[in-house]
Amino acid sequence: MRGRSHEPIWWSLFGLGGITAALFAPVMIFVVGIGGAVGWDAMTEALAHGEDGIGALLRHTPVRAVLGLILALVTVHAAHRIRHTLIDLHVHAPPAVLIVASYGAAAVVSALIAVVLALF
Amino acid sequence: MSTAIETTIKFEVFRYQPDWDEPTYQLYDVPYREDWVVLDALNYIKDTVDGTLTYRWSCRMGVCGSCGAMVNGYPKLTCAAFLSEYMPGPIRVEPLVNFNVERDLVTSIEGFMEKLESVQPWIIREDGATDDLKSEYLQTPDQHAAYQQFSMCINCLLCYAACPVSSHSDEFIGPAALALAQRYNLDTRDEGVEQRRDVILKDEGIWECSFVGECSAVCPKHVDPAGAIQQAKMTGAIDYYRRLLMPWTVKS
Repeated sequence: MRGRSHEPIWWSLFGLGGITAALFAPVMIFVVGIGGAVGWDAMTEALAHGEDGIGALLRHTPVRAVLGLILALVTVHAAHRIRHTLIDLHVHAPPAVLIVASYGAAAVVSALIAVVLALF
Repeated sequence: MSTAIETTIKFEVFRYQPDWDEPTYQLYDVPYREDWVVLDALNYIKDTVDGTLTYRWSCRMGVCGSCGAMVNGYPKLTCAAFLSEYMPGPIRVEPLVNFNVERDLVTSIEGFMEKLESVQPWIIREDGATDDLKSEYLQTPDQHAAYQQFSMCINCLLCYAACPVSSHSDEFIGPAALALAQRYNLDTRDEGVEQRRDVILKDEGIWECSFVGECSAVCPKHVDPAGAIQQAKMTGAIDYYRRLLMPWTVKS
């Protein structure tokens, strides 16, 4: 179809990232930030082992894979929002430049996340 | 006879005539009345102070959609903007932004009319049966509720003035027209989804929308154009992947 947009690719990744953030970010914040502090037994125990507790969790490959996927999707979500906000703020750049810059940045950040996760 | 000093409120009204080089702001003192709206003040100015002031209005009760203007920088129906909300003033009245000004507060709506027509906001029947006045097309309350709120649009264009995308893209079909397209696409009596598809699913259709949601925030009829566009994006994305991954399931 003439003039058909390929924006659905970015929009669906944006949507997926948004849902992922909404579903998992509160859980992750609770697990590493609040759970131990409020005396949730399992987390208190894990945190009592310090870095080892969290580290042991991250040494499981499936955990790293899922965590990497979650963080990558959230990064793409942020990139999409930033791209459209820049357009709304009248940043005049060719659409292709903005696409490469925003999702390219998301790809770089995702790659860095992958590297950090691989170090565990 | 009362000797009390009459309370007034200052108006700064955008003025522009086609033979002027630059627009200007004209100041008027308008008597304050608790039950007056900005439109009453404009009528007072036109009737008693300055007959050259030009603006659109008709019904005075939020139905006709013609009296929209920027009131202190915010898109409002001037017939629904009470002076009491802006006391002690001043109140600045300007034409709706994102439209070309023809004269004073009157903007050109030609571009919008073209966009509105492009989404074919009427019931389309493949069998052409809309001409047959004897036919009945029954709907359940749920089917009616699916599109009912989108049909409340009065084309006042406040949503276009509030839309950040409309501020940089003349081609963007925009909130009201897209909400009306969705209104007919969701109507069980309509068979025009295919005919509207090309206009709605291009970049300048739903995909330029950045979902800021101001269109829905300013709508005086509580239509939710941002929601309509999000619904259309979901069906548009499913349509896109279906064409990409299962092209044999799509009618050409």
